[in-house]
Amino acid sequence: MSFNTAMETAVSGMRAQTKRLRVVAENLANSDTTSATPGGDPYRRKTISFRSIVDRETGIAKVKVDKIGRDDSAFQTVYQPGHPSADAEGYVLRPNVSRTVEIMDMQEAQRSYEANLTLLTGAKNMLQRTIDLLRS
Amino acid sequence: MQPSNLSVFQRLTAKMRWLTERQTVIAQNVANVDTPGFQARELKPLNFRSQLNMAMAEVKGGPGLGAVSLNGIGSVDSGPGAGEVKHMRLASASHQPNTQDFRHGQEQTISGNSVDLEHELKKSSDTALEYQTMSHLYRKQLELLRMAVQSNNG
Repeated sequence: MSFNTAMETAVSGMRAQTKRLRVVAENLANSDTTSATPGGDPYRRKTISFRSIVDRETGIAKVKVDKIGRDDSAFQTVYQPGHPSADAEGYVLRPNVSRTVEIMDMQEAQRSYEANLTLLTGAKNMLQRTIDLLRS
Repeated sequence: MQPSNLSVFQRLTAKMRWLTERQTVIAQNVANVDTPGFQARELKPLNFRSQLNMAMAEVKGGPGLGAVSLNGIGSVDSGPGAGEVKHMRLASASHQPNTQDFRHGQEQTISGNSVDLEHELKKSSDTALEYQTMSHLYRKQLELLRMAVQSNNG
C-alpha cells in the first residue's frame, strides 16, 4: 500500500529529527559542564548525522540516524583559579558547545519535522479522499 | 460490466495511482532533507501519448483494451489485471526505474544534498489537490452511472 509507504517514510524523517533534537538538548544542557577532576576535559559536544536506508520491499529511501559522533574542536580556556575544575595554573577548560549553533540546529530540526508532518497530513488527507469515495 | 472496466474510471484510477506514487517519492525527499549526499528524486510524468494511444485503441476495439500505461513505472499489461502499477522491488533508490534525478535550480548544500524543501512541499500540496480533483471526478462519474441505472429501473 503506497500511502502507508509515504506515511512511513515521513515518520522515519520525524523520528530522525527527534533524535537530532535530543542530541541538541544534550549539548545545550551540558553547555556549562566542566570536568569532575581538576585539569580534566569538560563535556565534549555531540554531533549527529543521517543516512538514507533503502527499503528492500518498496525501493523507497527512508532516513535513519547514521551515528552520533563527537565534535573534536578545541575547548575554550578560561582563567578561573577558584574553580574546582581548574588546573594547576588556574585555567578551566569549558565545553566546545556554542549556544548559537545549537539553537540554529534546533530550529532546523523543528522545520524539518514540520515538513515531514505536512507530508504525513497530506498523505492522510489523500487516503481520506479515497475512503470518502465509498460514501457518496 | 464493472465500473472498473469503463475507460473513464481506469484513467482516473491510473492518475490517482500515479499521484500516490508521487506523494511517496516526495515523502522520501523530505525525510532525507538532512541526509548528506542525498539526491532528490522525482516521479516521471504520466505519458500523455501512450494514454492517448490506449484510448484510441480502445475506441477502435483493438488490442490493448483496458491497458493503462504509467510511463516508466512498469510494463504495459493488456492481460488480466491490466492497469496495475508494477512495483519494482529493487535494492537501491538510485535504481528506482520510475523516478529520475531531480534538481530544482542548481542548489545543493555543502553536504551534497539537493533537496529543495519549499519546492517539495509545494509539489506535495499540488499532488493532494490533484488527488482531490480526481476523487471528485470519480464520484461524479459514479453518480452518473448510478443515475443511468436507476432511470433504467424506474
